[in-house]
Amino acid sequence: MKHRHLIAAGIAAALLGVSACGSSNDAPTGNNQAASQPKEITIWLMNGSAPDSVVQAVNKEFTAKHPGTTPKIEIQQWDGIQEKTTTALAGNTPPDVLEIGSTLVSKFADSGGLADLTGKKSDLGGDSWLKGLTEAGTLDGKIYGVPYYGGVRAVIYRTDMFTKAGISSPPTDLASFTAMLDKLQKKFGADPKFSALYFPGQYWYAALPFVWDAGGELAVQDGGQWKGALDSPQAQAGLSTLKDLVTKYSKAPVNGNENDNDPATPMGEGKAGVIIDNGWKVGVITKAHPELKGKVAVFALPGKSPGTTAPVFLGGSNLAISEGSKAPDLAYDWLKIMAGTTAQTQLATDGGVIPNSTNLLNLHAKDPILSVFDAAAKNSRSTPATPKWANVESGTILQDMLVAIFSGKSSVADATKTASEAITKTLNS
Amino acid sequence: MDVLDTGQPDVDSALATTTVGAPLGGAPTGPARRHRRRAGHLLPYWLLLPSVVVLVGLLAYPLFSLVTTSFRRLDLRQLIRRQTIWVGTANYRAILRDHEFWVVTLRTIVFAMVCVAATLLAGTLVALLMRRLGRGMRLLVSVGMLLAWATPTVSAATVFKWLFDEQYGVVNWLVTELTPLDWSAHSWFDSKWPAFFVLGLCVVWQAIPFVALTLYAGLTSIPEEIYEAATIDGAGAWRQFWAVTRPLLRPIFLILISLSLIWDLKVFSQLYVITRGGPSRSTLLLNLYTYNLGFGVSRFGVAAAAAVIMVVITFIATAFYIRTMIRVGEEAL
Amino acid sequence: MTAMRRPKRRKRGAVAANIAAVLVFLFFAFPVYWMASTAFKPAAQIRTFNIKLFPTALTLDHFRDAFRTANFWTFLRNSLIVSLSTTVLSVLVALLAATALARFRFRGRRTYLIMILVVQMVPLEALVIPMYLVLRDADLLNVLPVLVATYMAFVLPFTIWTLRGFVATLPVDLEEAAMVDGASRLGAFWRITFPLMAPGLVATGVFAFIQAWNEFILALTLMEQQNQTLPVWLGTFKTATGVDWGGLMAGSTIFAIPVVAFFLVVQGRMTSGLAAGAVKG
Repeated sequence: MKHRHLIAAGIAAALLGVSACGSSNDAPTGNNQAASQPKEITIWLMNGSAPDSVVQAVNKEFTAKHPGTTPKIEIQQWDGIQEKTTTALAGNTPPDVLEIGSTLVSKFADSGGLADLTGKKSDLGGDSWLKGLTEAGTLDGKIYGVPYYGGVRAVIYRTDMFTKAGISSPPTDLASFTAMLDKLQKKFGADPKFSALYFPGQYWYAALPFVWDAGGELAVQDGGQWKGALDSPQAQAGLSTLKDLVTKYSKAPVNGNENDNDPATPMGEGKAGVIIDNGWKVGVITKAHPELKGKVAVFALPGKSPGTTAPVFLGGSNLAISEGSKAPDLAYDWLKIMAGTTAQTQLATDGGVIPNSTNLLNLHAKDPILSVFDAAAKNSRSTPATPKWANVESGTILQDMLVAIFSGKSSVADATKTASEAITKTLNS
Repeated sequence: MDVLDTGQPDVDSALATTTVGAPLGGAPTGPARRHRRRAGHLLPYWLLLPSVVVLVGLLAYPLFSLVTTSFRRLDLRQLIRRQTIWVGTANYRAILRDHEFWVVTLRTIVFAMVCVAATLLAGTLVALLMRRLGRGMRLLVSVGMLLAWATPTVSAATVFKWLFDEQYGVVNWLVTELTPLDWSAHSWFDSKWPAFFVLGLCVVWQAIPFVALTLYAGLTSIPEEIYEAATIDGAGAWRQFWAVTRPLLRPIFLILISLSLIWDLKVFSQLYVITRGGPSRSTLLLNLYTYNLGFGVSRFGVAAAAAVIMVVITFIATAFYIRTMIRVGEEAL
Repeated sequence: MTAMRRPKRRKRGAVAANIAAVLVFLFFAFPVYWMASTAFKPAAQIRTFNIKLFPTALTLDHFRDAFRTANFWTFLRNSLIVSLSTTVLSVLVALLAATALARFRFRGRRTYLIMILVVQMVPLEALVIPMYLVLRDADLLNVLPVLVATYMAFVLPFTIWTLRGFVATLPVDLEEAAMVDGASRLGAFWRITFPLMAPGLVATGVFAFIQAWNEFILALTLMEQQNQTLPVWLGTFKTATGVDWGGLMAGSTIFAIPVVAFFLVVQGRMTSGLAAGAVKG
């Protein structure tokens, strides 16, 4: 869906691409003697991450600089990506450049599959990178994953429903957020399928802001050892708050996840008052329900204290160069163009994602929706930067905890204790 | 006479007669004996050679590699850096000491047995039903089963998960519309048994066609006269099945049970798509447990040890049937 | 009295059987119907609270989009090449092995039989890494014929077993008679026995085809993109922005069509082949 309007913006993009080529006149780096240049470098990008227009512009700039080399783009699917990345990095011909989901970078870096790019940080303009993505791409102080793009969640709502419920302005703190949910519930609650807040039980990305805003952490590092911290009083308080909201206002499946029970669907059908989701969901909603165009709006998830917003999870991807790349210099040049200002600007405008640099966060200033997400990105965080974190995700520890809490099968105290122990065990195994 | 046999009725009925007679008698016919005299000949080995090359090269050798891997520490780091670290039996000890492994093993065996029983029971009923149907209805049933069989497993699992979805699922909607019950917020996946039900249903749904069609084809090979004689002797439907059908189709049942058991003990795709072991790991089965150790947390040595143990368990679980099958096979020659 | 009652009872039985048949058909066909009908529904009618058994509007958008996805035709070509090669080669190789097992008694026969049963117990998922290591060391990753060979390794145990039972049911006398008439052993086999084997070959062929057609994890990990197959392509409909249900169901339908077609064409021969194969244990 996202693809579609990205492709629609193709012509403008092509123009931008031309200007991008014109603007780059860096001298070729030392190792690029034409004779020994490989004919091809392979780049892996994830399905739906960068619009074709951006990729083509980057390739064009790259081939202008290295006429003998063709950048071969392979779009990888999310299904089985860990398996694919694992075997590819262990193989004889790994891809030269690859996009890796931000929370997986440290896992692959730790295993020796990715090239150390620490020395290139200033060359890449690393001082202005988004903090969350930089942390995700860093392991033991070394940089392996260059921030590519980010995505954060905010509260999405329908203006027509807010008007009907008599809500005039977005809430500014958690208390007024709850009051707003009450109003929505009162107005539309006659429908048994209506959720003032639609929150599938396993949706841990959207649960993290509540933990962080209350001062809790997922895990803390203590003398080289990691320790699960969800059983701290702060984290428990945050999760209790969320539990109250979910049990009172959400009819979403407690055991559901945000893919199978996509919050965009009930929003489009008027069965959800608000949802917590990514910026592109606005387009998903209006595509299925064209009559809602212009009626979908967003605000940042408010924090506990008045006037603050809750820290949100910064998802997204990093770009890395494989340790086994046969042409690391060429790979670096491609990566540098993609991570550079021109491509990032285009990525933000064409793709609607959050660019990798804080300097570019004003690009959507005039867009009432995307500007909210850009602002939220400034107060964003990532998961603990340890190679073992990926195992916490694949072990569905957080999902199990949330389901246990929301279903009432365990108390917040018990569920967080179980989860914390599991996290401690996983991170130190 | 038979919609399923339109291809070549003559050969089929000829075969059918042979089929029934042979395995039960078990006595070698003349030609077979003649071949046996040439047993010293190298021909059978030449005939086996191509299959042996493929099986050894691409199955036995990786299997050997699986066993050696199970004695190595092979995490992501060792895999990528190509290091070989031998750890003796540490991986096996880790697995055998894991309480969850035993729980999962037991659960897997029970799950497989229930699925096999359900598949065989339903398959037999469908096969018996098909025998009583007219040509058109029989075609309808077989086309329905072929559709189920031909659907890619992953797609089938995705659809099943959807049909039983709490909000978008047809099942809850039908129950709410057609019965006094309000299941509009009924969850099939928030506890172990309903989740297992959906999982098992998906597995059985796709396993029945093979079983039912095989049994039906076997049934058509039993001459109608035997049943007529049984009816005259006053045997009811159940008695006819037990005294006539069951013994005649025993070899078919044997192979169907063994293969189904082997297949259901390693159920993976449906589990991965529908519950992924949840809620709270309560539907985790052995193959996914092993897989999680491998690609989930990248401890491939431990995963290999788990896989080896799993094969041993499968072997023990199916040993009885395999022995019987081989014996029947030997007798027939 | 009895003579009067019987036909009536039989008639009632037939009605019950027909009703049961319809229910059985619905049970098997409904999920497939749901998949295929979803593929034709407009996006707003998919995954909705407002469930309808029959679509009220039809669209071909999802199919059009599916055909236009990147590399679809490459994936399709690879899938066809791999599945058909696996099918033909497996059946040929299995036929040879089955003949040896069914017609000869020789040293190692029993061991071989047990082996082909035991290797089926190994879960494919657990063999990915070992297989990967073997192929990596032999520098055979990303070679399409190697994928065919791996699939053969996985389908051969079943095909050999089934064909063995089938060959054993064929009368040897005809073959022998032809040999007496001066035909060579191979000639006799080719002209007499082979045509009789069609159902068995078809049954095992279908099995091999389905296995190869559906396989995902080996195609994903052992091959690079230009050599990957349709199951990998199905992932196209799950993006970072969510699942495209219409596309996924259209893709699944497109993916299922060749197998359904294959099934329907050969169904008569296949079922009798299955039974004969199984009867011989």
